[in-house]
Amino acid sequence: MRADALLLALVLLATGCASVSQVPGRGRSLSHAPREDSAPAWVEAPNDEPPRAWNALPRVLSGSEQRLLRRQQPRDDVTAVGDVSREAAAGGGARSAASTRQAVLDAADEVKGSLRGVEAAFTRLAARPPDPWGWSLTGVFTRYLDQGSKQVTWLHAALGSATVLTDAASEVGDTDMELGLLRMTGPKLQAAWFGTLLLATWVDFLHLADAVLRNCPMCSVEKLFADLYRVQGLMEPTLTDLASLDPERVEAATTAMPELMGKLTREFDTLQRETRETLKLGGQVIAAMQAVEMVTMISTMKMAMPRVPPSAPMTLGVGLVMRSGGVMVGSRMVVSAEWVEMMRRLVQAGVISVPAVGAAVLIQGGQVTMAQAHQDLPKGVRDALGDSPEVRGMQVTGRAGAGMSDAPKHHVLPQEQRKWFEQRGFKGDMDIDQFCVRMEKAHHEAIHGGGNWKLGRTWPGEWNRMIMELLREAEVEAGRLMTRNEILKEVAKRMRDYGIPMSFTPGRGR
Amino acid sequence: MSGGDAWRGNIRARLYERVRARGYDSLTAFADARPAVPLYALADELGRDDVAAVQVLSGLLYEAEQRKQVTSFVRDVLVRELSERFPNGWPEVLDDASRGEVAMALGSWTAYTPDTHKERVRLARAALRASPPPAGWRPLGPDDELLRTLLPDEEV
Repeated sequence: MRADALLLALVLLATGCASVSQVPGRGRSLSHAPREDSAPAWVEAPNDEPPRAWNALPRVLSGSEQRLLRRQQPRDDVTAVGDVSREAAAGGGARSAASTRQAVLDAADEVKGSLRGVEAAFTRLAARPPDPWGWSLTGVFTRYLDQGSKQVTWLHAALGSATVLTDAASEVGDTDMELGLLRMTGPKLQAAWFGTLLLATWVDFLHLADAVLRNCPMCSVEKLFADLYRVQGLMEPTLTDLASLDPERVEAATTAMPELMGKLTREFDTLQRETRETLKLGGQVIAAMQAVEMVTMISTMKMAMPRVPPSAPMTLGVGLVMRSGGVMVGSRMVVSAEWVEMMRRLVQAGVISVPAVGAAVLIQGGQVTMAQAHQDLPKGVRDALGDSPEVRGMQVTGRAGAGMSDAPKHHVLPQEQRKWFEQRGFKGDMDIDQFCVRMEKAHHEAIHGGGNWKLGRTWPGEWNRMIMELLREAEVEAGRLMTRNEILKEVAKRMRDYGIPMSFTPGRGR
Repeated sequence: MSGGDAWRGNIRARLYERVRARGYDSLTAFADARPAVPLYALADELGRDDVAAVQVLSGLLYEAEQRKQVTSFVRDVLVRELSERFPNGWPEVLDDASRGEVAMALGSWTAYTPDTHKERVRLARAALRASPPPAGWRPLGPDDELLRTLLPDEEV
């Protein structure tokens, strides 16, 4: 155990000082990290895509062991930034759908990599043998390890479901529908992203608890247990909202994340401070002290640590500036330009909302707060992320925005025909409940035959009847079943004809 | 089309106001001046954000009902449908994919046809299946010869 602490102290010496002046958590660290399994998907990227257009995610999204490695990356590693945005703007709709798809795949891969790191940390923590006094994160503490492992299950499911939708999007052959399907990955991606971040934070608490148990015999085990219980309680509601994968709940949980991270940071700081006091009282060796300090150095919350958030509301976003290399606070890189570029694509396609990306940037910038605050980023940063009135409009009429968020959901593919659609591949992540749209009452009534818009008497134009007649007659014509892709492509055309926005949200079936 | 704008306000008044603003006294005249242009493109021209293609369709049907030219209207619907899907004319090789596309075109035609004419359209489709049009067939208006054979006027 002493050797252990010594090793930690050595690593601390080797990397700790450097971290103050050197920019951590950016650059191509992912590709340098010794985890081959996280390397990947960009291999399949089209040739015109600069490989690894982004690969620097917020440091908060990756496992702690990786962060240690990252800190050793040289600073100029990140500067090669392709002018991807101009390239994307030059292409047509299909091209932009392709680049959006790539961004979704890249983002999903990144979250998967982070999740693997978190899982590995859980496994290591669970496998650590008890120290000579018999202390470790087992026994009564096992439940806290289990809590983490339980979350991993839904996170994998969310990422898997995003992958299914992305695959379907690549095959559908209609640009609008492709973007519609890609937008459906948004809430899943966002939930997995922030869920993984929370889980990484939970790993930090477990590391700290482990360090306390091993190094602070005078610390109260009961108190530690209760502290972890409280922290778990803080995370629980957010994790539940994220796990629901419901677009509105995910969005609300996401935008409240800086506040939650503020609370967690404060908890972490308090727990660590109390441990230090106790160690001091007991005249503990410096190594024990450093073992506890060490946990902070590798912590997800490190950026917020230098100044624990005030309990009063503060103005967020202060000091965040967009520069050519990325978003900076002073001389520190918060997120790289590559990451910003990926997010810009996702934001502009309506996959991820600006407030969600904003929350990530704030957290990464250490700008967490104890109180709910207005979370707008400085304009320069927002512009770089692709924020614009059109994008906001899209999110208002689309998923999770104000205005439309109360409008009732309606199935685009008639629920009465669930079986018919199931037989044509609308199952699981692609079942008809996934294809609901929010519509105002007047619009909904109009497409179901109400209102006075139908000038011609002899064509009822009722949506459900029209779409089923179309598909059934087409099958008669073709002499075979229509495929899921053919149906989706056709439905996209008719949605266009009826002025139904291509933004799907999952609804409940009867 | 971003959302519900097409379904707010007085739809009929908006439609005719836009048609008149473009110098036509009827929707039919506006559409006739744009032969074989898909319905959604007509709608976009009248109002990108607040006119839906099915409103144009219904308006054209209304005028056809008044003029007793519904059969011609029905042929016109197919013309616009085909021009969207097969800008180079009827597909040369009918593989599985293009067979599906043809099927959807004819299914759409039926679904966008008024109840009074659905049966005749089904018969026309059966005739088309029995003897398919030559590759490259690209009707440019409701008076296309082959189309008129498939679905002759009966009102006049």
